Amino acid sequence: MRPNVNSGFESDQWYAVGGSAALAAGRLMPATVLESELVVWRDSGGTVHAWHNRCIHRGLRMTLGFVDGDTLACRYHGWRYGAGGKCKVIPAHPGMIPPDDFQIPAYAVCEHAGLIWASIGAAGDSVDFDGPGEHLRFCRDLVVRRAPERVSALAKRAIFRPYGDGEDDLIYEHREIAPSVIRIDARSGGDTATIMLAIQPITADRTGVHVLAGGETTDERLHYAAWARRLRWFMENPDAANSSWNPLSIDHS
Amino acid sequence: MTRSGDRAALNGWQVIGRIEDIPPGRTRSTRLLGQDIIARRDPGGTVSVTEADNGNRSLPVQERYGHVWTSLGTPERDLLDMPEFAEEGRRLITCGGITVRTSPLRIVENFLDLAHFPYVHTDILGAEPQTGVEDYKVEVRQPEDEIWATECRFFQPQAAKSASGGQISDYMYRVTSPFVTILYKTCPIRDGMWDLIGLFVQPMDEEICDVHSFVLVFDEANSDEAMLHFQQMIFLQDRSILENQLPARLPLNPRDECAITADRTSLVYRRWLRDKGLSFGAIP
Ligand code: FES
Ligand SMILES: [Fe+2]
Repeated sequence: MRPNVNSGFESDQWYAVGGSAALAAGRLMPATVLESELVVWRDSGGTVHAWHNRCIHRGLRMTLGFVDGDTLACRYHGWRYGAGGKCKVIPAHPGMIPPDDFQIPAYAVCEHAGLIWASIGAAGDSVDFDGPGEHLRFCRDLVVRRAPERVSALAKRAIFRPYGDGEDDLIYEHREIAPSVIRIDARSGGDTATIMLAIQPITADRTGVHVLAGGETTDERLHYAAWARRLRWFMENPDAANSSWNPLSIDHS
Repeated sequence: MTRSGDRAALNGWQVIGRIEDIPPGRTRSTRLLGQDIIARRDPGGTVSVTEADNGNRSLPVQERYGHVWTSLGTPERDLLDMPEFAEEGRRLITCGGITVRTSPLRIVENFLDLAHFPYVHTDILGAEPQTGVEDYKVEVRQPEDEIWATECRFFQPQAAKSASGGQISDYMYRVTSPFVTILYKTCPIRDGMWDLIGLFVQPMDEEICDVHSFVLVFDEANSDEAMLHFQQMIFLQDRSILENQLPARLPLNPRDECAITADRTSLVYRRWLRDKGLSFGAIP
């Protein structure tokens, strides 16, 4: 099932699937990790869940369903599933207590550094790296039509212009602070600006990139959002002519 | 994909369009069980059907119940019998084919299902909290070899175009071949009579089909167009579900999906398909 997606992208790792703030209580979203479809949802109490995106009854994608309090309801026959993917209610038989094995496979999920992380294998207890600091915010999710290994390699040479700074005398440092998480520091004089890129292997030729960047003001957020949009374009078109707009331009590194 | 080798599917009668979809002097190219076929109606009105890559072999054809039927094999049985088509005062509305990207067997199974009404046809054919499915009878009738589910009852906010206000509807379901199913529903305006709604599923490939449906009802209040729109609205609601079931093919092993008492018709349908050795659109 996972032919070409590997070389570092193992199922036993945590992968970011989206920004925490983008998933409000009572909402769900689809996500794909290493070809596996997930439904990621937040219950009314604020807890995030990540499950196999398939109802055990007739196989409907759970992403068509809806959140009902602390359960996720399937859109086909209204079966309600609670913590751990356990079936709680079967509306066709209102008095019935569903058997123990009526359960959707649940994946490990956690929230860290403004992102939701899931593992479809046996990852550790929680995402383990130092948070990027209070000043970083969720900027945007990108989907890049390229292989995860390629996107990861390109991310390790991505550069940016800190908000409000000129272009001169910038020194960049790229570090992989956790598997699939790349931190880019740009130093000029005594100041450091940081961007963090969390790579999500979607399929063999599709990769998610979740961008955290500075964002005190609207202008600053727009500055980094525009950078992220360019990053995506140049990742998909790495042979495009060099331009000073190219976040992957060799000249700048 | 090439033509199926599934004898149980090949030897049945399948619908390939409505009668009016193949007017005199015209041809219609379509697909059946993985095989491209061409249907022609000569100016005199006779329909002939051949495989697209073999114009020499004429396939059997008949026109009945508003539709054109053919078979790639040798039909072992007659077409299903629906005597209601000869009854005075009924109106026939044929809805035309709607393409759905899933197994033809998933289509039939969805049609046999009461429990989805409150969630897929919300406030029309069902609504929370009236979600309970009462016990009903289901059997395979011999010698017809047809599945019948009877004594099905369900609360419906707007059971048909002609219904005003909620009612308990009585249903019977009938499956006459792997791809043909009929629903009998209490007629809201004639005591003791049944309205018919039927699906003739045209299996094109294992995960794509055209669904031809009809309504045969007593109804004096609504136009054909209004009834057609009602049926299409209902079916488009089903389609959004049907194209999102994983896997698209119907698993015939009862352990592959979790079933409950309300699913007995579907369990009988799957076992009946397995007993026939039907594999087109199925996971054995
Ligand atoms: S398919 Fe999900 S409740 Fe039936
Ligand atoms: Fe339906």
